[in-house]
Amino acid sequence: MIESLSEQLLRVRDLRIWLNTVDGPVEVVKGISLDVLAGECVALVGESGSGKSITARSLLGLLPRENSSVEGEITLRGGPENVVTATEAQLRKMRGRAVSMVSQDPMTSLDPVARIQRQLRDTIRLREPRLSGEQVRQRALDMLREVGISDPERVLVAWPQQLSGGLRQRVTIALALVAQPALLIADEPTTALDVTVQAQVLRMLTRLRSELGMGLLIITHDMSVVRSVADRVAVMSHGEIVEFGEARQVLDSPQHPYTRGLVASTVTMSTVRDRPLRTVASFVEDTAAAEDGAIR
Amino acid sequence: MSSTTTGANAGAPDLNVKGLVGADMSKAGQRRPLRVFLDQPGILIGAFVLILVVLLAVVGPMISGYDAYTIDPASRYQAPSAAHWFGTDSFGRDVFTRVALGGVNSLTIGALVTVISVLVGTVVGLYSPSNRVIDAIFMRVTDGLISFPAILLAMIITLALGQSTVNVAVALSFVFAPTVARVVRSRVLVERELSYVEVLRSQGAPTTRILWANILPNVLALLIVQGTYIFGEAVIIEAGLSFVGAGVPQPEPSWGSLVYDGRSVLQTAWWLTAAPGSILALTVLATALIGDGIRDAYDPSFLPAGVVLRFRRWAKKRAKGGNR
Repeated sequence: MIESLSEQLLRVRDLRIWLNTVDGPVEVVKGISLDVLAGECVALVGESGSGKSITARSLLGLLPRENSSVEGEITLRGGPENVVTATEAQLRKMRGRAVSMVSQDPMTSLDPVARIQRQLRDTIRLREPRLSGEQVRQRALDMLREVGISDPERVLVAWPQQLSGGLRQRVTIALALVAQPALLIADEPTTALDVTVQAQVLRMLTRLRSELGMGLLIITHDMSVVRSVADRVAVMSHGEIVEFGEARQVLDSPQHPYTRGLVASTVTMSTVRDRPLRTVASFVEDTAAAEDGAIR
Repeated sequence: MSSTTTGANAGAPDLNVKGLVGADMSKAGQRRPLRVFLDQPGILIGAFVLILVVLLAVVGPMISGYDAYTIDPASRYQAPSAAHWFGTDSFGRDVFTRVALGGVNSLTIGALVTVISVLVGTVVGLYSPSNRVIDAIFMRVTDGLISFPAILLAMIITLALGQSTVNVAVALSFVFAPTVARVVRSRVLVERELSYVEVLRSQGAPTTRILWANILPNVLALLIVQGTYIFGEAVIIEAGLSFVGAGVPQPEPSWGSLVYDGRSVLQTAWWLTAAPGSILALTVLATALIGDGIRDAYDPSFLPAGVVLRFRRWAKKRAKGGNR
């Protein structure tokens, strides 16, 4: 499983994250190790509150420093020595290029008061400040075509609220791909979309991955997403990775009881007829308490 | 909408034909901000009145044929007439000319205060949340400034700086900038937690650019509304200051000092207070109408605008339904 470092896009070793709450720091990620190879799709699965999204944000150095603390080692190809200890300037250089992110909710992930063309233009200019207006426009059109938008001219002049969820998610993906990141982190990219659009977006991500040779880290709690796109799966529970292996193997013969529970609670065509849908007994007690504390 | 499939996605039948929210698209895309404002009757009425007042201030002294400072004992306390539209005061000076000239002072102060306090308040409000210590200091200072009664604070600062038109404007900016800073800051705190900001950061956008190019435009609607209210408020407080003699120094007229001048002869020479007083009230009313209109334009769910929209829809339907 562990290959030479040159093939690794992302290498995480013993990552620990504490969030500060009124009751003091709570450890929400407890020493996880993970790696993503070039051109590979790794899925990070687990229920809400298991630490998936926090992990994703820490990979980009996006956790607010004043109320969280991170320990461990995060190395990205083309990024600083260690993301955990990097300065804000180093992080800014890394973001977009070494790693980029698509967020969960396409409804709020675009600036509501800027037309799509301005959002694309700003992001393109961030990388290539010397392009002329026309070149930027061409680039933007290309990016939109790349994510499967067939009439990019119209999308370009649209406001975000004029686009459907699926289109918006495509636009956010286009934005994330502007600097051709080596690794794309997709935090539940399809959760807010309906099933047909979900399938399109997943297909598109898979296509882009092979076309651009990009690594993909998908964060999800949906086992059917895992089955359709992931090469390898890391199952996360309670801030720890309880199982990490080839997707098929993990899904077909899960070793850890938690994974078994997750897989068993997936809805399939035969679920309703043959047996009641299983649920996983919640493992998330500490974190729930922590979130409670955070709200107070 | 075109349904051509590009090479890149030929393999996958992506159904983005359904993507754009179809029919309204072209129309909504062309919907200019100006148009949204013109749909608000309050804005139209307010702007009309305000333009009239500004015209009065600018053109008034030229067309009245009198000088605002020339004393004419022979024609004291004359009631409004064809010769003196707003009558004359205790020195026989033409009230119309003095009201117009007072308007120049009052409106200039209002505009200056709006510009200064919005600029300062915006910068403070945008940057304050980025550092906890700075934020705490700024916000305690604004708390302190806001807890003073506005007119008292303005009076103290004006008297400390020395009485002049510019100093009155500076003093009033001290009164209003904290409010703007608070409003902007509270919006920034909301906006920066939204997912689009995180997305921008994940693309490597620098904080300064996110603040000015992405967050500020999202706060702008609120700022414009605040700005119009500040204009109206500033004109009122300036009048108050001048009324008690702490505002624009004599003998330069201001609406406040004109009202003061007429106060002792209110029962005999009512036009001395009525003229500047009603113009002052009209101006403030106009700015309030504009402010409300802009707020409604940005929030169509708010009742008055909703009623207007419903009426328009109904009128359109009737017009279309035709000549029965």
